[in-house]
Amino acid sequence: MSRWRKAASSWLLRRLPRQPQLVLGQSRIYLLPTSFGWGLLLVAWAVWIGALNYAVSLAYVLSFWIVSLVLIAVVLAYRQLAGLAIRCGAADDVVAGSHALFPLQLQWPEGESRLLRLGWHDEAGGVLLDRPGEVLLPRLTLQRGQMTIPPLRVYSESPLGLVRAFAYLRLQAQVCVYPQPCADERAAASLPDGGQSREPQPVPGELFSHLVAWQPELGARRIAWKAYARRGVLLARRFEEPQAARSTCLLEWSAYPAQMTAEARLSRLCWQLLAAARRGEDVVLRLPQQELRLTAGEVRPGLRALAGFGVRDAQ
Amino acid sequence: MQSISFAYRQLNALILGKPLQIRLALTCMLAGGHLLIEDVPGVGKTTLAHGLAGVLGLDYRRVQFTSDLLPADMLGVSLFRPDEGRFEFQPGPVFSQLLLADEINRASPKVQSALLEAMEERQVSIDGQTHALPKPFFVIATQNPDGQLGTFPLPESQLDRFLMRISLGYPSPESERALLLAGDRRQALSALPAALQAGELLALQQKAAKVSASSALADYVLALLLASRKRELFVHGLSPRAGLAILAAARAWAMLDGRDHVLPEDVKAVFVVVCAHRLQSRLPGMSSIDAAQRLLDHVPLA
Amino acid sequence: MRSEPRLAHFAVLAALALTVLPLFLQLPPWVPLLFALQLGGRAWLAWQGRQLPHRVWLLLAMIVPVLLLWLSLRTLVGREGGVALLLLLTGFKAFETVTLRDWRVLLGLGFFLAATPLLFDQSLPSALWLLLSLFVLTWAMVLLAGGDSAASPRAAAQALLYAMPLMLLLFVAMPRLPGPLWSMPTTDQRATSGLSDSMAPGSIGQMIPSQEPAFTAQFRGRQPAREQLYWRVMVFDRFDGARWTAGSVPDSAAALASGAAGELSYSITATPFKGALPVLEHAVWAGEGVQQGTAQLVRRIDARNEARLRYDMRSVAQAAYPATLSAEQRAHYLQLPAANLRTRQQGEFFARQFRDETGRLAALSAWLQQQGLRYTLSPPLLQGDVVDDFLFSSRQGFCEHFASAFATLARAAGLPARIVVGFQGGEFNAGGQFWLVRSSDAHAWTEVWLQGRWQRVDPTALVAPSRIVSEVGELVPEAQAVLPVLGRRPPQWWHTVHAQWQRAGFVWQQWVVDYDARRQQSLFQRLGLGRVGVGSVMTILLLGGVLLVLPLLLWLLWRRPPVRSYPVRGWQLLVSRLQEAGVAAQASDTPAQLRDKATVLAAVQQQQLTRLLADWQQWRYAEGATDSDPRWRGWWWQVRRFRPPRLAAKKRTGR
Repeated sequence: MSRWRKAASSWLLRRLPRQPQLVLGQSRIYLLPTSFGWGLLLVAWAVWIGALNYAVSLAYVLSFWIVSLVLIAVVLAYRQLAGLAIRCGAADDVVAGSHALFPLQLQWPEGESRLLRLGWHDEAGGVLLDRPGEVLLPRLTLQRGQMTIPPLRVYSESPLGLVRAFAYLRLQAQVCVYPQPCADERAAASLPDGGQSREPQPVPGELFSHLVAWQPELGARRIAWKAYARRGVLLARRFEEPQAARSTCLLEWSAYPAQMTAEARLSRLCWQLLAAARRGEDVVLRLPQQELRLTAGEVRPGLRALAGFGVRDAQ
Repeated sequence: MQSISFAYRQLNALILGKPLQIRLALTCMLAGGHLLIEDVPGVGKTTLAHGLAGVLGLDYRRVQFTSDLLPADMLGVSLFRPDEGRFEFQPGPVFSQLLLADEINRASPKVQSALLEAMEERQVSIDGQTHALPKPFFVIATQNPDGQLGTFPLPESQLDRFLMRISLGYPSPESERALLLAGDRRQALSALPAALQAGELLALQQKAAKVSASSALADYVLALLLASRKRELFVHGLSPRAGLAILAAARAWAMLDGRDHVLPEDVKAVFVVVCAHRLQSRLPGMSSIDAAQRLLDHVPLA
Repeated sequence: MRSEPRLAHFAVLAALALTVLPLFLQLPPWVPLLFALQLGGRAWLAWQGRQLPHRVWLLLAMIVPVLLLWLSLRTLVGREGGVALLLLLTGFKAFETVTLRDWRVLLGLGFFLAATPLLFDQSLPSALWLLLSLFVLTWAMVLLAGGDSAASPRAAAQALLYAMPLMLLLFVAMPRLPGPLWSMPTTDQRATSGLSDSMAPGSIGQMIPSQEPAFTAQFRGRQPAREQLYWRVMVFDRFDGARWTAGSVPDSAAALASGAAGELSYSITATPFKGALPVLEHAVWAGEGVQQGTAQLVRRIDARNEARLRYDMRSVAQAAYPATLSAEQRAHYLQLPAANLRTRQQGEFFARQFRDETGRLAALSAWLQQQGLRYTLSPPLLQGDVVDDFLFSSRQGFCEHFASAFATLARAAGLPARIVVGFQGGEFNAGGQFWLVRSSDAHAWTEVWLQGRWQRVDPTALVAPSRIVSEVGELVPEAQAVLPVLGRRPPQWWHTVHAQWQRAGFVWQQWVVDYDARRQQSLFQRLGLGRVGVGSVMTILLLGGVLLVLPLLLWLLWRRPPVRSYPVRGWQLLVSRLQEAGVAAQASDTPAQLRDKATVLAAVQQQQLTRLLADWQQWRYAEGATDSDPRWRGWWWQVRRFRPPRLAAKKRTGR
């Protein structure tokens, strides 16, 4: 992209307000001939010169028809974008360094055939669309925090390829970018169990996992008598791994060396948080001025807290 | 069709004063969906399930869900037969045409999810082997209202495996009086003749699926779905699966009316029971049933 | 379904092939044939999915055809050479198309190639062909842009149709230049007028009359008689014994006065032949763009321009016009070569016999009539003293023989004489009110200077008078138009169709092909806009824009709110009518609910409502129901007429 073009598009973008959803109209659609359009105008000019020189009336017809076609293509290209409604759905949270997927919904009046491309304003190409619907546009996330959807560009050269109609869109949608987990070999401190788990264990003690055929070496203690009474076969009860003592893991901001940067801390805390979730532990996450108590499996609020740490909302 | 109306009359004689619920339950069966009955104990949930199995001529098993029930108790186990040197599959109660899962919210989540998986897939995988469930296969689950002690409420993602959730409610005074005067329900239940021949139910299900829904009707259902997603009434909108469920139930309801096409009133008739358990009301003090009804009152037909 | 790119590529190639098809008639056939082969080869490569040949091979392969072209045409510029070269280069360009951009360049060349057949022919059929080419090219363009393959023909036609008003506007209003910017040599001087720049009567064994139109003339007011129509084009005054050519002797004709009785006013559309244009004998006034020259001939002002021209003339149809002759000129018009001794002796005999020049001319004419000469289009070939041979031995010939013999005879008899070449007669098209003159109407006659004026003598008319009042075709059986397939005289309907076709061609010629700077000027003046200038062009463009293009643009840009169908509109109207009447109706109610709520209405209205609701429900939800059902219209009107009265009065009584 040439420098002036970049400047022009950034000027266009600056004056666009952010909107949760928008419908394209005259004020937002820009129209420029494509190189093919310019080329065809050149052909029309050459034919016109020929017509002039040889006094060929029909060549005038051809020349003017080509010119008119290019002019009409402006209107036809405009019609490709006019009335297009775009909104962005809720995007799933991602880890920094991976692609955030923005679900974009495009609607236009039923029965109109359109062909357009939707992409990021700073990337060439885009997704080709020929019917209304939803597309997922991936965007690489570079840093942790709240990522606002970058400006989009939608354009169409249909139906003739002579004129490009394009529009820049600034939508209102955000995605939460978690810190990239960084392996932290240091064992997390664990809190003594008791009082920390909020719910009482439903069935304390033995938790059955499943039944297996009983074999003498398993011992009589493990015969499932109830099952025997019901079915008349000897079955042995298998127990779940002792997970009973659900421990609570304490993750602390201040547990890291003082010279460690905030991002590095967050990455490690994130890793620890995910590891604890894998182990099925409850977590207490202590950040400056913030403390979260998370039960096992409830990892998202923790990740969101890490993602949003020290970040002001862009809104 | 006569057989179905006969079944309907039989059930009405068995459970007094609940024609709407009985009709909805039959609709649910004809649409091939699973039914969740939510109510306080003792209003006749089990009787309804039992009665349905009886009149529809289905092979019926009942499992009382308790907290110590294991998935294997329900699905079955592979047993090693030392004398034959091979494993043999012992099918559990789930291998029946109609399974009554009584008090489903008393069982542990593990059992619940095992059952719900079987309901969705209509097959059971044990030890790497897949066993298909019989056809037709229905689950009628009963559950006590939330908040009772010692229950595990079904998660929302699993609730939408049920096509409908109905509640019977207390009978009207006249019905209750008749109930008190009448003889033993259990006896009446065992005397219930089957109204449908084997295979007839499957044929009826296929017929119900062929009831035509015009594009205008699809538009109406779509308008309902879109309205539910506007986030003023509900936490989450209805899923596309819910849309298909509405249409399937409305088709069966239309067939019970003897029509070959679906009308908006069919949709209205089934909408609340199909959707209320899939929705969470956002407004304080308003149940999802009320919110669903309110939605229905605000979406125009055209 | 979006189209596959390969389909678009085939479409581009097909469009190119179709566009240049008319060039088979104009260029050495191998050039378009090679072009077609190149396109076919490219299509084959695309079909097989093979790689394109390397550029170096293409360059090498290009040398041979270009050399061939040079050898056969001796030029690579000008009309034929340029077009042929462009065709070959485009053909090779087709082998360089890889990206979408390349294909678009090729398609752009196709649009340019569409203009090339027009350089050779601008008739109505080639206009229709241009239309077809444009459509196919646009269709290929739509496909290249990724358009839906099933809808693409429609899209292309639509785009062309939308562009047409603008095109017409530009065609009418865009200023034209009166002359060419530069002139390019054309290799073939095909004489479409049926005339050549010299006349050698004995050398032609058979004259095949060509039915090709030479020019058209349209008379205002009085129509002339056929035998008055002597269209003068050239004058030959130098004879070498076998061949008559044009000398360069200035003529001092006294200008004929305009406004004489029997004056004919007409306009002619013709292509100049060596600058000379046909004009009816004898012109008294010449319009814009042409000038009267020596020997009563009319030429184009810009003599080098060989483009077709329409010009206005006024003539008095008479057989003589006054002129003075100097002694020098007199000697020139009496000059004869040594050949044709017998003829000269015969002439000298008449000169001695008849002192009076008028009597001498009459005697010459009478003598010629008595020689038993026969009019035929296939005379025997003559050699040596061609005039002697014709007059005294073969005695067969056509107008050229007669004119040549009579002029020689007159000169020998001491009467200044010369030969006029042009056309005689023409075919009147009653539908289009114009005269069509064909190549077969070409004619030659003589002029003899007698007592201060040039007197026309048509020796052919003396010998075969019917040649002048009827067409050649009727006179000479072999010149009759025959149907190409049936090989016999065409039936009446054929004549009718033929006449209509000629009429269409004439209108086309007049209003499209001949729409030049002059016609544009006159149109602007007729519209009251004065001369073609920036101001008037802007006025026309703006005016035309407002009248023609603006409505189209508005229509294209106007986005209607989504049309609600009759059932939807009707339903909303019905509910609001019920609400107006005081029924607690809601748009979310089902028909059954509405019926229940409407029981408060009068019985008649309830019946109406029940029927409306039943229809609505049936047509909207039964199997196969659509909102485009034609019955909905009637239903909507019924709803509009359904106006239940307010229930307020009833309520009051109830209170």
